[in-house]
Amino acid sequence: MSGDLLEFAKPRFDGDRFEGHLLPLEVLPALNAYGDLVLEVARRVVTDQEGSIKVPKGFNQAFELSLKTIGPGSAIPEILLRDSEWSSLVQQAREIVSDTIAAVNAGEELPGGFPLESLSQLEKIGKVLKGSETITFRSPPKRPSIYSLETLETLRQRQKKPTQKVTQVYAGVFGVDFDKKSIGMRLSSGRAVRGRFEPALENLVNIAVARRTWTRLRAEAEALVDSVDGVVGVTEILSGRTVSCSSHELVGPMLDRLNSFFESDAVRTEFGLPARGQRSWGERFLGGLMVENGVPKPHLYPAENGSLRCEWMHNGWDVSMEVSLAEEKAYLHALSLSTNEESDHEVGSAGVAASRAEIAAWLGKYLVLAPEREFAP
Amino acid sequence: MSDDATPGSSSSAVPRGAEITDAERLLLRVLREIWCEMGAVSAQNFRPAGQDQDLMSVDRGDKSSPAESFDRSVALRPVGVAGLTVAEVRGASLKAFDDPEDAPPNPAHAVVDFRNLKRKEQERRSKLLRARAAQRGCLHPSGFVLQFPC
Repeated sequence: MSGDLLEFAKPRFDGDRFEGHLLPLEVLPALNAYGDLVLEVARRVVTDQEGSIKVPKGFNQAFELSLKTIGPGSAIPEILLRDSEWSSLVQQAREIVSDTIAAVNAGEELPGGFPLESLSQLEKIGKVLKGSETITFRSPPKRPSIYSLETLETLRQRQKKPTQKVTQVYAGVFGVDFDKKSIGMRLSSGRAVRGRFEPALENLVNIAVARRTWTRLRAEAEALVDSVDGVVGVTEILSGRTVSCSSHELVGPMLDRLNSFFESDAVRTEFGLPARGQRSWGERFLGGLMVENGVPKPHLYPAENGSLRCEWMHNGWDVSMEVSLAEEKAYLHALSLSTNEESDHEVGSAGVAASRAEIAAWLGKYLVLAPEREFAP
Repeated sequence: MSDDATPGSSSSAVPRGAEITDAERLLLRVLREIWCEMGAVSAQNFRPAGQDQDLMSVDRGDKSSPAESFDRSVALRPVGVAGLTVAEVRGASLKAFDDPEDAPPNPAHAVVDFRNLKRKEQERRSKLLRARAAQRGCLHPSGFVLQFPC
């Protein structure tokens, strides 16, 4: 390993056992579990972004977390990450883990980037806690992420919930392993899931993956259904069809233009366009609005502070949306050039399906949203 | 208009001259290629960028031709030059000021004042300016068609 060591995390252990900056050896499994969990999530992040089932060669070997010192105050071990080409993805995984702990505490839907099969790994972290002890993985001003015994109990309850049943699944396909008959899908919630398919469905899956940028799969499937999150896993696709509210002719040029911004050093530098992860997010967000919500193809421009600007003109309405790629927020504005009527709207967490539906509903007041159509093989 | 006269560049935080009151005076605004998609002109061409400190650069039409403004802005990869009268700028509740530049010299340089506006107010005004400029079309290069989507 030759990369530098980067400061990665400083989880703070609070409780009687940790006074005097002590970190009893018996709690070290929590740090091991945390490291393993970050790796699992990072593997999911990288496969999602690469649009593949497997992690890139060398990814696992490049992952290295080390423990440095116990910091002042409460027991605060300092975890370092060996720098590699995937460091930013691992840091992204760290934030997903913290977001997941916060979501568990708040009783919310888990972040789409968190693999449900990693819940048991998340549970392991809390097994070392006693009484009122806590581990703080993230502090304000970011959303606090504090692991306590209550978190552990909520996690255990949550894991009991999913039930297996045949249900309808709506998802984008991002990868297929034809040898293993395995398909990678992204649900509308943003959650990436993997399931199997019968050989008889190979043609459907082939078409769905070939058209993945502009269609979605509507399938009947054996799925894991959670009363909180809906479909959280897919065991097997039983039948399905490809559908879209847009077309290759509309989505393709939009994605080409978006990619042209990122491929130009001058544009990237001038407008502060962010790293590859946010680019993928931008593709999914804008593509999703067109394919899943029927929003017309926008005119697309780079905007300041790493934002993208979409503009539409319809029926005298001058409509725009600026999307911050880094913050994943959207600002919408509409002005009637004939009546001077005006409206604006701000949406945080624009990547969440509910927020995207909110954006589409708002845009639908001024633009014509296209209905869903089936695309036969 | 100089190379640093359109969004993404710097102007003084305070206009260097007096308000332009001649309602018929034409103001020239360079349109950037990056903010035109297949000829469709973004409203971003009609508002200052962050580095402009809320002053949108234009050239006075009586001191610069559209072609001269275009040529001064080649570093910004211009695609055309649009025009707005002072009356149209005022119609969008904005004011224009003289702002001659020394280095490089551009006595035609002026600014449209977007200071102290909230985001919604900036959006509204830039869209109104684009709509007014659309009625005049592209002033340079001649014969070049830009689609102002109105």
